[in-house]
Amino acid sequence: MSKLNLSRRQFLQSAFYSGLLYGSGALPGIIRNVGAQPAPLQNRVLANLFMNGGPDLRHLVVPEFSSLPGSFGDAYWSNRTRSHNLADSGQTPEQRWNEDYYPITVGGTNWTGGLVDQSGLNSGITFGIWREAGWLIDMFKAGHVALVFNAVGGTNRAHDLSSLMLNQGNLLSTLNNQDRSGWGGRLARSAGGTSISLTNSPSSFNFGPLGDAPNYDPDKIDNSDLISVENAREMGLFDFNPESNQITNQDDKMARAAKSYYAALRQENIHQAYLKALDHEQKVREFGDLIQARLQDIPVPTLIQALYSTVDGINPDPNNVNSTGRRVLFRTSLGVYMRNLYDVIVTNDLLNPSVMSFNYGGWDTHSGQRPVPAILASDPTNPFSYRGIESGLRDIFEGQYGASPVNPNAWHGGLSALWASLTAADRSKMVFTIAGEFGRQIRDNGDAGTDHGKGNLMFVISESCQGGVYGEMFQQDEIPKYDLPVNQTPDIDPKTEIDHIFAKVSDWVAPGSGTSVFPRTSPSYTDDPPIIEIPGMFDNLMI
Amino acid sequence: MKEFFRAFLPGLSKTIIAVSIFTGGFVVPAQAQNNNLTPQQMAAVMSIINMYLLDSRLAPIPEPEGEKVNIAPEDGVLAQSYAVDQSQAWFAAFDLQSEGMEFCLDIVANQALAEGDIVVEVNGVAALAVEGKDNCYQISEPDQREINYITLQVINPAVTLTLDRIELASTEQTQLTLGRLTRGEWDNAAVRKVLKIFAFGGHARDQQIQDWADMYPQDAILEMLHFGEQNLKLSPLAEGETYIDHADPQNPIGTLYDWANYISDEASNLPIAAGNRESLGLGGGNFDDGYNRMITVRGLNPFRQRIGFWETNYHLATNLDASVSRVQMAAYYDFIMSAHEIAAADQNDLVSYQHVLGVAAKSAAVAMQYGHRNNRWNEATGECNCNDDFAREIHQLFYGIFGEGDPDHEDVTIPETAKLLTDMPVHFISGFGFDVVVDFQTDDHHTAPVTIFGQPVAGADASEKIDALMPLSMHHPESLQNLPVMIISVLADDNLNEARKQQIRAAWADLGQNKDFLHFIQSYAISDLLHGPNHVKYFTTHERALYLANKNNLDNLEAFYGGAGTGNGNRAGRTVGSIITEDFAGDFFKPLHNVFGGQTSLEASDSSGVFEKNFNRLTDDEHHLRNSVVCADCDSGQPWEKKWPDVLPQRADGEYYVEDVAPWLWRHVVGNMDNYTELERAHLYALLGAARIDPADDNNADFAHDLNYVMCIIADYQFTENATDAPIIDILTGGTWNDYCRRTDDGGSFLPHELDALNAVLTGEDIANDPEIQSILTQLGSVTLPLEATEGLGSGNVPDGGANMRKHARERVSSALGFIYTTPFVFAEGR
Repeated sequence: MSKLNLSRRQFLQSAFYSGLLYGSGALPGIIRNVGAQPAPLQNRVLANLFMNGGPDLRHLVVPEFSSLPGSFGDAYWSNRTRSHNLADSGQTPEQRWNEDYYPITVGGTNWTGGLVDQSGLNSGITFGIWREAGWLIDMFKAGHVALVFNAVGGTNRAHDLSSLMLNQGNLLSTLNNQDRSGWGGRLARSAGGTSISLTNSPSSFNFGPLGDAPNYDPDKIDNSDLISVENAREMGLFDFNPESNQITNQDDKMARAAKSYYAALRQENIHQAYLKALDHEQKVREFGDLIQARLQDIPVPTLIQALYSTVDGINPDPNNVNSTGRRVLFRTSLGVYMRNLYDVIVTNDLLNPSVMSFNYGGWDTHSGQRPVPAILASDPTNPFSYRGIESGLRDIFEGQYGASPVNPNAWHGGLSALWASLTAADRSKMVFTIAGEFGRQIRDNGDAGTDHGKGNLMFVISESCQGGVYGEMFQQDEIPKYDLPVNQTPDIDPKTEIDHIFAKVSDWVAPGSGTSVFPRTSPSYTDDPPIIEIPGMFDNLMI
Repeated sequence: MKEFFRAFLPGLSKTIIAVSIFTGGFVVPAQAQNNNLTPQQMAAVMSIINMYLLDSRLAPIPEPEGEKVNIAPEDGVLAQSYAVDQSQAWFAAFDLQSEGMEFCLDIVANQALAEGDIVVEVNGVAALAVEGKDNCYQISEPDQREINYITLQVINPAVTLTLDRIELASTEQTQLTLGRLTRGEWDNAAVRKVLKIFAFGGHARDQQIQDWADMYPQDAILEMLHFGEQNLKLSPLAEGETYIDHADPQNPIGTLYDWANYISDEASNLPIAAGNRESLGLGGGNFDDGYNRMITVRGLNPFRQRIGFWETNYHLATNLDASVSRVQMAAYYDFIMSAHEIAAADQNDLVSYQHVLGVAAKSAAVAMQYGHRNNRWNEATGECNCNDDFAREIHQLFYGIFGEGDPDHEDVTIPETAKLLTDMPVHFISGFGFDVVVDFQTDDHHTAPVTIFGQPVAGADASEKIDALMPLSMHHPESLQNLPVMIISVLADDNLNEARKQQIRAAWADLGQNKDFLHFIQSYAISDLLHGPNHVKYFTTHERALYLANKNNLDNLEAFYGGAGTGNGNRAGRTVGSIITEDFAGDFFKPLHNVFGGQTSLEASDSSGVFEKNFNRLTDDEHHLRNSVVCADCDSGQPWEKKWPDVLPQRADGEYYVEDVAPWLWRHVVGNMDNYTELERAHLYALLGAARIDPADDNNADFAHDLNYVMCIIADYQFTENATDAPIIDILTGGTWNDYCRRTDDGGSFLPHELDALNAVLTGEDIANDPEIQSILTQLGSVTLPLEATEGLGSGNVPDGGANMRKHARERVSSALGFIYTTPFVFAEGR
C-alpha cells in the first residue's frame, strides 16, 4: 500500500485547452463589516437579460397598421395574421393594432420630450408597443429606453452558435471558440468588480478573461471573479457549531472534516480539473456567511415576492371570490432572478458587482406563437395560462408605472417589480441590456409561428440612457421581400453589430473599458470592424 | 500489483532524474523513500533513471547467461512458456527497433514471492517484476541498444517461476488512427476510467475489473461496452441477489418501455411498496425516477443507458415538457437503442450510425417535439404549410451541419427540407393518446424530389426521403468535421483543442462509408486521448448522481429504493432524482435546454450552487447515507443489511482493517489512487477507525470521530494529563472516551486548545511529517471494522447477535464514503 502518493505532489501542469482557470487566491473586494441595512449601490452595474431562443420582437414593437398597398404596415400585417393568431382572437389586423398596441409617432404623438431619433431615419414613423408591456412603455416615454433596431448578436440562424457570439460579444466566434471569455466577464474585470450569475448555471456571458484589465486575454477564461448567486438567502456551506454536542452531532463531524480537508487541499497542487470545486468551496463559504448575515434582516420586497409566490392583495383570481392573491409571473424563475438581483444590490458592498446576468427563454416560436386562452376573457392576468410569446413579454415588461396607457389593473412584471423596489439612488446606477441571439423571419410560417432570422431589436434601459430609437425601425427595402417566393426566407437585415452598442454601455459602467471589452471597436483593430448602421449613432447612448 | 507499477511509472520524469543527479548519483528520490517501496519497486525507479543516463546506444551489453529467447514484434505472443529456477537464469533478446518497444510477460510463481527472491534487469539495469500478469517494460527507441536484453534470475532456491504470454510489441499502437493504450498501459485505473465515463461506473466487481485490466484493451473493451440489453460482466448481480426477474439472460427487461411497465407493476418482484410503483411507469409522474433505476439496477447494461441518455437528452433531445408523451419518449429511446444494437451487430457494415439517426428523425417523438407532424404541402398553391424548425435542426443538431459557406443553406436546403418533412401525422388514439409512430402519408407530401445540399433527395413519402437524406448528411463535409467532435465532447472530454479534435475527426473518417458508432466509441475509450494527461471531463449533475449511486448501491434493493425511506428513519440506496431536482439540472427527458440538450458539464462545474448542494447534502444531511445501511423489514418484509462485507477487502484472519478499507473506498469511488495521499488517508482513517469502543454499550460505536476531533481529544488528553503520548485507541476504549475534548467537561465551552484543534488545518505535509499524527494513523489503521460481528449488546445492553456492531461498522464505512463524495474528485475526471 502506498502511504504517500507521488503524482499529486509531482503534479505536472497539463495543457488545459479550455482555459478555464479558477483562482484560488483572495476573494475580490470582500468587506468584512456586515451591517444589517441595505447598502446603496457603490458602483455602476450592468444587468444583462438574455432572451434565449431568438425572440420575435417584431411582435412586441410593430409598425402601424396600414391597408395601403406597398406600405410597410400593409406588408407586415398582411404577412403576420397567423403569428398574431387573429383567427382565434377574432380580430382584424386593424383591430389588433388599435386594441393591443400603444401607438407612438416619432416626433409626434406620445413622443415625449427628450426622446431621440438618433439615426434620423424615422421621423414621422408610427409604431406600436404591445400594451401589456406597460413598464417598457412608461420607461420609454420617460426617456430611459434605447430601442436599437436592426441589431445583430449572432450572424447565423443557429441557436447555439449565435448565443455563443452574443454572450461572448464576438460575432467572429465559432463553435470551436467555447473557451473565449464573455463580454460581461470582461466588463467586470475592467471595472474591478465581480461578474455575477443570477441563474442556476453561469452563462458564458459571465466568463472572465485571463489577466488584468485592460491587457487581458479575451480568448481565455479565468473565472476567479465569477460568483453564482442562485439563491442568496440560502447561500452557504453547512458548518459545525462548537456550541452544540460535537460527540453526537454527526453532521457537524462531516462538516468539520470536509472544511478542514478543503482548507488543506487548497495548499496543494492538484490537477486543473479539480480547481473549480476548490474555488466554489471558498467563495460559497465566505460569501455565504456574509450575505446571510446581511439578508436576515432585509425581507424580500413584496412586489418581488409576488412575482413567484402568493402575496395577499396582489393578482387575486377574479373568478374565485376566495382568492386573495396569486403569483404574477407565468415563469417564476424570472421572479427568483429578480429577488437574487435585488439581494445582490443590497449586499453590493460585500459582493462588489459590476455585471449581473439572467435569462428568460421560450422564444423559439416556430409554431403557435400567440395562443389565446379562453380564460383571458375573464381573467386577463391569469399567470398559469400559456400565451406563447406574450407570456414571456408580459413576465418581463408588464408594469404598473404611470396610469396610462396600459391596463390599470396590470401588475408589476419582473423588471417593474425590481425597479419599484430599488431606491432612486440605486436605479440611477443601473443599466439593463436585453437581447436575443437572433431575430426571426419577417413572414410568419404555416404553423402560426415564425422561423429563425438574423437582425432584431435590442434594448438598453437606464436612467442614464439617451432614450429613443436607433436605426431604421422598419427598413423600406424590406417591403418587397414580403413578396419573395415562399421558399425564400427573408429576415431583418442586420445593420449594427452589438460591439458598438454594448461598448458604449461598457464605457458607462467602467469608463474607458469599451475598446477592451469589445476589441473590434478599438482604433487599433486592423481587421474588418463591426458594422454600424449610422457611424457615431451611439456616441451619446449613455449620458 | 500490476497497477502499482504502472501508476508508478508516470511519476518518473526528468525532473526526478535531475534531482537524483544533483544529489550525487543514483539516489532514490525522497518521495520514493517515503513510499515504502519494495526493493523490486525501487529497482524500477533505478532502471528508469539509468535509462536516461546510459545513453550510449553503441555501448555493448554482454549477453547474459541462461536460457535465451529471441523475440521480435512480428512474433506476437510466444506460444511457449518457460520455467525458471535458481539453476538457470532466463533472458529475452531483441534487436534495435525503429520505434519504442514494450516487452511484457506474465509471471506465475510456485509460492508467494518475497523481497529478493527474483531479480529482473532491463539492459543491465534492475527493474521491477512481480508475480502476476503484464509485467511490462517500455524502452523508447533512443534508449534501445543494438541488442536489448531483459533478464530474469531466481535467487531463492525454493522458487520456480513460469513465464508466459511473452511478447514484444510497439509502443505506438493504433486503432482507428487513434493512439491505443498498450498492454502495459491498460490497467485497473484505465478500466475504471472507462467505466466512469461510459457506464456511470457500472457495477463490475473488482475481480472483473482486474480481469479486463489483464486483457488486451482492444479485447476487454468489447466486453465492457456493447449495446446488448444486458451485460452481466459490466452489471453482474450481487451475490445472493433477491431482485433478479429483470435480469433473466433469456429474457432481460432491457427496453425502457418494458422496464417502465415492469417497475410499475404491482406483480413484479420488487422491494418497492406496491402503492409507490405506478408513478414510476409510463403513466406516472415519476417516470424519470423509474428510468434512473434502470441505470442503477444490476443485471442490465449501464453503457446502453449511457448512450441512450445522451442520444435522447442531448444529441437528439426531445422533451416531455414539449408535447412528447412518456410512451412516445420510451418508444423513441427504444427505437434509437435498438437501431444502435442492430448497427453494432451488423457484420456486413450495411447498417451504420446514419440508420440510427434516420430512426430518430422518423420518430413520433421528434414529430411532436418540432411540430412537423402538422406540416402539409399544398400542391395546388405550391405552398408549404410548415415550420422549418426540424428542417434546420435535422442538419444542425443531428449532424452538425450549419451551412457554413453554403449560400443555398438558408434559402434552398432548409425550405426544401421542410418540404421533405411533410405529411407525417401522428394520430391521436382514443384512450391511448398520440401514437408512438408516424403515419407517413403522401396526399399532403411533397412527393417530387427535393434538393438538399445541392443533390436530389427522392422518395415517395417523408420516410423514404429521410432514408435517402441520411447518407448525404453523414458524409457532408461539415458533418464529418463536427459530428465526431459533438459525440466525444459531450460524452467524454471537456478539454479538446484543435489538434485533439483533428485526431477524433481522423478516427471518424477512418470508419469509412459505414460509420460504426460503437467501434468509434470503443476505440476512443482505449485511446491515449481519453487516457492521456490532457483529458478532462466535468460531470453533469446527472452523471455525478448516477455514478455516485452506482458506487454506493451494492445490490438491487438499494437501487430500487434509491434513497427512499424504509421506516424508523432509515433509508436504502442513494438518491438520484432529488439531487437532480435540487441542482435544477432538469429531469431526465426534460432537458434543460430543450432540443439543445440537458445541463452541460461546464454548466454543472461552473455552478457554485451545484457544489454547495452536494456539500450540504453530505454534511448537514449526512444521515441520508449513514442511515442507509440496515432496515427491519424493507427486503420484502425481511431485514436487510448493506452488503459492505461482500465487497470490502477481508484479510485471512477474517477481519476488515481500516488501513485496507480506506484505500479500497477511495479507489472504488475515484477510480485511481492519484490523489490518495496522506491527507485523504488521515481523514478516512479517522472516520473509519476513531470509533468509541465500549464493550458495555455497542450503541456508542457509531460515534466515530473526524480527524480534527481526534486531534482535539489528543490535545486535551495531553493538556489534562500533562502527557506527551497519543494513545488514541486507549482513550477511545472503555470509559475514557468521554474524558477529553468534550464541550461540557471544562465548564460549558471548549477550551482554546480544544478549539484550536477543532479548527486546525492539517495539510498533507503536516500529517506526513508529524510523528504524533503518524502514530495515531498507525493505531487507527489497525482498527478492525466488525462488519460481520455475531456477538454484541444492543439496546438496553441486551445481546443482539452483533446487529448493532454490524450496523455501526456499516455506518462508519458509509460515512467515509460520504466524505469522499464531498471531495473535488467526484466532480471531474482528470489525471
